[in-house]
Amino acid sequence: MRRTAAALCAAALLATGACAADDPESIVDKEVLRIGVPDDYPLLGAPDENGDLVGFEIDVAEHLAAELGAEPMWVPVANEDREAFLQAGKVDMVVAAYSITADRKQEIDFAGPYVLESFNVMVREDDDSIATLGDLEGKTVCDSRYSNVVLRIEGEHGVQVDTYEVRSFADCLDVLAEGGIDAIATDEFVLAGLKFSRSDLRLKILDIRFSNERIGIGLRSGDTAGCEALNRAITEMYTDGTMARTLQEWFASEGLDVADPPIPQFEGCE
Amino acid sequence: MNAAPDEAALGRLGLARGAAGARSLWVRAAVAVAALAAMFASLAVAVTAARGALDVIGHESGRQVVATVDLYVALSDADTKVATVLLLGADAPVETEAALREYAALRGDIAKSLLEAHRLAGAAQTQRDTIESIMGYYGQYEQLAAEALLLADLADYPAGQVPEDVLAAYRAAADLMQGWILPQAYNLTLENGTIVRESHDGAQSAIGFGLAAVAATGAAALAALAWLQLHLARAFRRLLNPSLLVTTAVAALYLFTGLVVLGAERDALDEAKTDGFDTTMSLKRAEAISTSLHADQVRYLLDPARVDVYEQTFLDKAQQLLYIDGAGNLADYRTGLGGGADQGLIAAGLDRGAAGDAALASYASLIDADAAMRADAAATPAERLRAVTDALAEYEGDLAALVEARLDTFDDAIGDGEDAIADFAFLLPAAMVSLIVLTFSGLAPRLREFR
Repeated sequence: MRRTAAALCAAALLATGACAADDPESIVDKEVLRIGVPDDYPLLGAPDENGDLVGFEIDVAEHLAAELGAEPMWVPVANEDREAFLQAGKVDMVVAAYSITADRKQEIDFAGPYVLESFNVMVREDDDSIATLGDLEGKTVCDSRYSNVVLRIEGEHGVQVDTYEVRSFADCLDVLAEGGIDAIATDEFVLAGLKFSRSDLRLKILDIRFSNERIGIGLRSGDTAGCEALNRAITEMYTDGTMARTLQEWFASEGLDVADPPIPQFEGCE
Repeated sequence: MNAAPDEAALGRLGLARGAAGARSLWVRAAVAVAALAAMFASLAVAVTAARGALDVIGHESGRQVVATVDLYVALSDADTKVATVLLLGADAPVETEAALREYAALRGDIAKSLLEAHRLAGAAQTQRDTIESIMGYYGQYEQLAAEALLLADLADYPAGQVPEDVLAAYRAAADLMQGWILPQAYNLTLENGTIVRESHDGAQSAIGFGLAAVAATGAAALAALAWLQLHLARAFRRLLNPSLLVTTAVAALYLFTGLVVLGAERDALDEAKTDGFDTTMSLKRAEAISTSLHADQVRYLLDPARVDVYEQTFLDKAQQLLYIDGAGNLADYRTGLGGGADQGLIAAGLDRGAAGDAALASYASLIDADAAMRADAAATPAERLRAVTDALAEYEGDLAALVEARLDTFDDAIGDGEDAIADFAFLLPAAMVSLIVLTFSGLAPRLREFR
């Protein structure tokens, strides 16, 4: 069967001069890429005044799609739907503050990481009771379903917290401000966006960087050619300064030090 | 008898004598020779693609994978030696001396590896740029590391109590190593893996196409030769033309040989890629990740402010080497490892031999030693470090043995592939010329009859 396919593929090569060496479903062969992006994380992916999605993830995804020669089509995706959407073929790739973890890699593949960042903690401006990760012990922390942050806090660092479960971290903002919970812990980029979107709430971001998150591009399992093409595009974004510019544009004004971003070590495409 | 209707009838049969007869003989011969030429051209294209892929896998990008991982390992080890010296301070002069000596030796290895990687990059400009970028950053690293070592020498502190200015100087160096130098080296390894895959896939397509094309053109050539034979039999009432018969038999033999060689080449390429390259690549990547795993251990002891992060990155790397389902912390990981693991970079490179078992066992011992190191806060840093370095040395030795064995398989597979097509460069033109000569030597006496 594989040999037949190879022979047919070779015949196609002769006839058209184009031939996909891999699975025909590879993202490198698509003219339109359905990209799963956040639509409720300001600075990362959220509607502007015209209703168009804008943000860091949108810019990155747009650039990568262009590098692959495809037209991007945005599909808003919540944290909990990321693996499922990829596996069901509802999206071709996910660019949505998606941390690469060994467990997730059993379900899907990751290109990248395209950026490195840390988990951090946001609390009320007048709350001085939390200075280290250990201070979260017994406190109530916002937990978005299928985020890996509580796993890190409890599983890796042995700090036991109560969780307040929501679909999106944005749903925790008012609850945090009103004292219903004590903290939101997640990617520092997401925190910066949340704080930026609700400056009226008087929240502050601490300096407890307790993890090293590798943010990658979720892909359907087995698309090696697609994964490699994305890695090449990411390398290019670092070499030509696109990544540094994009990070600066969205996060520099929020006080994040993103002027000279470190180069991510790729996971590799299996 | 009227000659004209006879000539007309013969003409319809394609048996015209004179100029028309000679032309029809020429046309048939030309068709046969064209089909033969097409068969040999298809073979040549497929064989050239296979040879190109073997070059890329065996001698260019395949070698670059090995060279860039060796570079990565030397760089990461050098950083670990610096961290070790800083950690031990003034308390363990013997270990400190040893670490400094190794650091000096590693700087030599790094220079050598950089040159080798640059040489193997050949004309590939992006790869050369990357290697030059690593060279530039490494120059800065050496300065920062020297600064940290000098500050440490002046401060003369007890082991484990590293002054803040020494730590700050080291962090600058370590950040450069982890954030700019090592990732570029590792990504270069992966990029060469991509080049190998693309080259392999391209050659397999070309061979698949070659097989179909050789079969089709070969069948056409045999049919054309038979057609020529039939024509001669009818026109000249000779049952068989011996010379053409030999041509046909030899063409059939070449067709058969060509198909067999291409089939064998396809298998040899597959073996070189899958059993040779892919497993070597996994194990070489495992070597790279393993050295940076140890770097995280030393930094864990060195820099209390970043303990959480270094413990997490250690776990992430361990999960890359051997994956344990759902292991959210090091204790779970260690427990899970007892149950065996069959996924991850090490697992991908294992065969069922004793070398594989040894590597798995020494890896498990390293994880045990790591747990002991983390738990034993009362011991001196030198003691804690010694517990893991012994286990690490054994594990790295076993891993290196596994890599060696895989590299041999890899070289053998490349050699087999090259042997299968070694004579083709000479054989193909020779076969082509000999078949054309045979064809026309069979026709020459008949063509003379037209004069």
